[in-house]
Amino acid sequence: MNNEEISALMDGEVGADEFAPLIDSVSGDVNARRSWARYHLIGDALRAEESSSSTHSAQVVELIPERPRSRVFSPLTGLAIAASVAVLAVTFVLQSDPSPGTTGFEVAEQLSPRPLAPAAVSSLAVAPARDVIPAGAYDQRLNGYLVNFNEQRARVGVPGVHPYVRIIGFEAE
Amino acid sequence: MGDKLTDMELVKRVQQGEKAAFDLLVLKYQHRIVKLVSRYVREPTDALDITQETFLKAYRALGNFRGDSAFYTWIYRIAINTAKNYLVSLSRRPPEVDLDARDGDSIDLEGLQRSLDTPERLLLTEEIRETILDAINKLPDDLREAITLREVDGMSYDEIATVMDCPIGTVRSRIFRARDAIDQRINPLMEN
Repeated sequence: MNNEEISALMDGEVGADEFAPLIDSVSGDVNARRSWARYHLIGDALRAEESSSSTHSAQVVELIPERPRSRVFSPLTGLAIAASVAVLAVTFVLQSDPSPGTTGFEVAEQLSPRPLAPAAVSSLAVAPARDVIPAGAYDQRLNGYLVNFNEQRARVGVPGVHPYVRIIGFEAE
Repeated sequence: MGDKLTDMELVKRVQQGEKAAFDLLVLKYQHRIVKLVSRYVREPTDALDITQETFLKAYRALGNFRGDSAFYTWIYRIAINTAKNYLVSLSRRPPEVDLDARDGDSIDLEGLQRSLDTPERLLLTEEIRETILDAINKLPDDLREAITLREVDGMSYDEIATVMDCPIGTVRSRIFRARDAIDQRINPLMEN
């Protein structure tokens, strides 16, 4: 047998019918066994070097000095940044609040990345919702409902849905 | 599968009573086991003793090995457990017992010692390691790439052929030529 066959055998890259005779040959030949051992040693050294390189890169990362922490950037700074972002978000929402008379569908059309078909928009763009129910009407009706509910609940002994809610009601402006 | 096929063939032969096949497994894995065990024990001589015991245990237990896991995974666990037991025994070291006398087993300790390399080789002396790395660096690009893809990345010949855009026969030849070139460099060191 030649050493190329040993090389292929150790990689498991020989035909199924070649395994047995090749293993017999390597087992029974001192020189072949030595080559087998050295070839594996070469592989071990290569892999060890590779893992060692990985270790080195990890060590390098560890050695990179941290950026000096400025005293200006304390934890409170993060809080301040978060608050600023929140203010900006609120401002944006207020600015993007639809003007009176703008329908929800029109707003959706402005925000949607894909424009609706003109026919669909025109058929859906009905009268503004605020024209159907006067502003504040919801609040008044809801307030009356909640007050009545609480009065009746106390009278018949029905526990409230949210007994921990002590104040229910809206001030009509 | 790659070299696992060869391992399974060797294991099968050991299970059929062919000790020479176990020698090939020892020669193949001894350095890896020593390196593994050395993570647990500092003394090189202790690492070698544990390695030897690991292979003895593996040989005795090989009859129960069904091949559900790779052979290396299996012997890896044995090595770890043996090293841990050794560390535990350090705190309450039992009286020295000759392993060979304790187990009148089918494999003789001398036979295993013959299979294992000398301690110097097992510990992969710095000189051998540097020679191997130097030899690899001096290989032609195609040989170095082929053996690296095989040994480091664990690719099959088929995969390497795809990556290097060449026939499988060429891959087989390149890997062998790379090994042979490195072997020419380390052989004198190993003989010494």
